[in-house]
Parts: sequence; structure tokens; C-alpha cells
Amino acid sequence: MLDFDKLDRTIHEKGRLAIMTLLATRPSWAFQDLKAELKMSDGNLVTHLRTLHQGGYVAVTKAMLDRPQTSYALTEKGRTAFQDYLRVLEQIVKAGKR
Amino acid sequence: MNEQERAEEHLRTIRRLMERGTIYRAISAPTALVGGLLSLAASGIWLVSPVQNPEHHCNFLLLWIVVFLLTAGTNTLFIVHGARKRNEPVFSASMKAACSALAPPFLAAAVLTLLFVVAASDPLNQVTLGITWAICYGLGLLATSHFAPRSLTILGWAFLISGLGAVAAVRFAGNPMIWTLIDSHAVLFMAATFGLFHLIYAACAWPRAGAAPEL
Repeated sequence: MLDFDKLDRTIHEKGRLAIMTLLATRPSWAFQDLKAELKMSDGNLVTHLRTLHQGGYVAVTKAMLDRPQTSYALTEKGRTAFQDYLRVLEQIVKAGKR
Repeated sequence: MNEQERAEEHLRTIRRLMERGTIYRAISAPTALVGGLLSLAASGIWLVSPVQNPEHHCNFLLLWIVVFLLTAGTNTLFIVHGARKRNEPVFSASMKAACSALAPPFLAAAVLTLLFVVAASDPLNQVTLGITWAICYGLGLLATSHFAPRSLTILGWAFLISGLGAVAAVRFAGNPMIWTLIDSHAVLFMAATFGLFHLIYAACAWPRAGAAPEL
């Protein structure tokens, strides 16, 4: 039987789920844009991003444009994990409707 | 809250965030470059060509229909090429949302154009057409603003304000000879808006190369 235990624990946390969702919408997100959109503190956001990066779900890019900028993007592994997460959620919803 | 309800709540949160996070650029920088150059070329052709005649409004209309079709065709090619390169569907949800937003102002422009052409005795037809297109185009771009990048929203405002400013200038010109002068040089308004504005937008929105991503 499907339940929340089947969900990827790395993604299944409110803050990290929100980060993964936003990263899925664009090729990359700048740190400041993620922070503004999610209204998280620097420390909180960095902690979640580090967890996702250590899990291999997020790639970090540091660029020097008019000022130093750090951007984050989903890796292939992260994109697959997110899609699998969505699939499990949908299956839980469908199972509940039977 | 049971598991199904929790899962539904999670999916709603995900959908809301995805809608907020998605950016769709209805007019790409390359398309704007092509459109801007075509507009300037058309304006140049109009100014030096013997086909320009204040009473032959159809020539003015036909010229700008050609510019519109060439630019729209180019935009379509870029969209298809980009989608294939990213291995994504051409008619994405974002594109459908953009088309839905653009459709009403573009329909208004088409209908108003038809009405103004039918009333061909109006000496302000050329400038009226140009102003109408600028205002409707600006409104169309602004209709996509909730998922468009800031540069496109600024472009929309530029067209809208230019169109409204031109309406005010024409309305308060007073002297009928000035109206005739303005109408015969409507193409300069087209060059400034559809030409120059698009080129400036293209320069601002052109993609910049960044560092390669590291794992």
C-alpha cells in the first residue's frame, strides 16, 4: 500500500520540496531569487540547498557577472527524483479515491 | 488529515509554486531583433518608395502585414527550434498561457484595423492604424506580465505609453494641416516603436553566456 513512507525523505520536507519545485520551473535560479520567492532566511535556504546538493539533486554554479552570483539548477538525478516524488503523491491521491 | 488529503495538499502547493516560478518570454530577443530590423527596413522602404500615398492606406497596411507575418513566422521557427533542442513539447502549458493572454488584444487590433480600413476616407488612417497596433501590442505584452520577465513588461509599457501619447498629440494638434503631416509620417512612429523599441529590447534581453554548471 502506498503511503508517505515511500516518499523521498530528501525532498519530502516543506522547505526542500518548495526549493525543488521552483528549480523545476527554470533552467537555473539565482540564490537571491530563490530567497525572495520562498521568503526564507539565508541560513535556512543554504542548509536546505546543501542537503539537496549533497544528495546529488542540485548543481551549484558560481559566476562573476556584474557581481558574484551563485545559481542553482536541478541535476538529472534531481529531476528524476522530483518526478518520482510527484508520481508517488499522485498514486497516493488515486489510491485514496478508490 | 488523512494521507490522501495530505498528498493533495502537497500537490496544490507544488502547482502554486510552479505557476509562480515559471517564466515565459513570449517575444524572444532574436525575434525582437528580426522584428525590429524588418520594421526599420519597411519604414525606410516606405519613405523612399513611390508606393507611399496618403490616400492608399492599403499599401501602408499591406506593408505592415508583411512585416508582422515575417516576424511571426520567424518567432514560430525559433520556438519550434528551441523546444526541439530542449526536448520539450512545442505547445507547452506556458506557451498556451501566453497565447491566451495575447489573443484578446490581438483580436481587438485585427477588428479595429478592419474597421479603420473600411472607413478609408478618414485622413488619419495611417497614424490611427499605427497607434492602434502599438496600444494593442502593448496591452498584449502586459497581459503576459505575471509570468513574463521584467524586460518584456517594460516593452509592453513602452508601447502602451507611446500609443497613448501619440493619441494625445494627434488629438490636441488642432490644425488640420498638422494632422495631415502627422498621418503622412505615421511610418516614423512605426519605426520608433516597432523598430527601435524592439532593437533596444533585443539588446537588453539577449542571453548572456555564463560559467558551466559544476556538480
